[in-house]
Amino acid sequence: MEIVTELLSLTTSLQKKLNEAMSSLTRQTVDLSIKDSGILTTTEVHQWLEAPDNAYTAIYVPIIGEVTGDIFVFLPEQSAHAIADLMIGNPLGTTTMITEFEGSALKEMGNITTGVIVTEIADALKISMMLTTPNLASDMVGALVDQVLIEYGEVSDKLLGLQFPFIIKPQGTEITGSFILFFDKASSDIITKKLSGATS
Amino acid sequence: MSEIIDIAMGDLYVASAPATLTTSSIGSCLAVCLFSHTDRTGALAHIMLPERPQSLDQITEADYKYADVAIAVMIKELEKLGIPRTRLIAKVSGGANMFPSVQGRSHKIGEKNISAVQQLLASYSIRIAAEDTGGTSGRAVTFDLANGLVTIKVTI
Repeated sequence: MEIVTELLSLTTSLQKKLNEAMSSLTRQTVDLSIKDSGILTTTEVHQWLEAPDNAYTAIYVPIIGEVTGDIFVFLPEQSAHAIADLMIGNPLGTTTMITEFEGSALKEMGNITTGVIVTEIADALKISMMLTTPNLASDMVGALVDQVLIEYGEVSDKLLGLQFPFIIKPQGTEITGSFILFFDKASSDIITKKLSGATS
Repeated sequence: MSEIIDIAMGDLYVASAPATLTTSSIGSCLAVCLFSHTDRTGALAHIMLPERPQSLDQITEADYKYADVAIAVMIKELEKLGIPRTRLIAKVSGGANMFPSVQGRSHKIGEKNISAVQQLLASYSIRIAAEDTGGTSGRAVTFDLANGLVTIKVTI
């Protein structure tokens, strides 16, 4: 947890700017928090995720550069529909399935929000981090993160995981979701080293 | 009443009827079921990686995530129960590529897992009686030890 505390204290504006980005995209007040973040083993991640067996829509953006990692934005199906409606400017309830158009809006949300996250961390630690193109999929949360965990597990059993759950309450409805960040062991070590340099 | 045993990622379990073994959230991972009809006994492993890296360290339960370790342990545990490997059949599920269009990463691990498990089972002369692998969808597996029936749930 120490690495998370230090990272968040150095990137104090991360939560604020992510909140602002989400609010701007959805034109709503967003309640964003952080929970249960820290160093995990790859086999602990399924338990760490709140509902690994539930089907969610995920926007997935790999991070490349000096540190490598992965960002997922997990949205329950109804929340993905509602966010698409808010972004497109449709009345809530209009979207009943994610076509290319709604998918494009959700990917754009991924582009903007993950851009905020990566820029804040990269600037604070003075490291190079780049995002690749967002990918969209709907499936069990655990299955969606599987690929990333396996890739990490090839090198080390340990990883750094951060969770930023959010709630939006437009017109008496509730939209929930979560930003999940994973950094592999080597990247987590680089972050720790940079943090000790930045805070000493 | 049948006991339902849920197996976590990277773990394995050996049991007999009337138990039912389950594991879910299988993306690039593989669920490998071994079963003896005669004994109505079997094992299920939720495998993550093809092969344990070369190491002098002793094998622990944390190594059950590797196909070579998990399959060897399942066979050994079943043999301890008096079930020779000649009575075993295998059913294999998983190995998907959840994000086929992703940039910046190879993401071929699902294929590597499938290939490793096929080769390992062949090396033990265990026949794969059924296989549902690859694709781009996650899976959940239920393995009924009363009859060896493996039911796969796919998210659509």
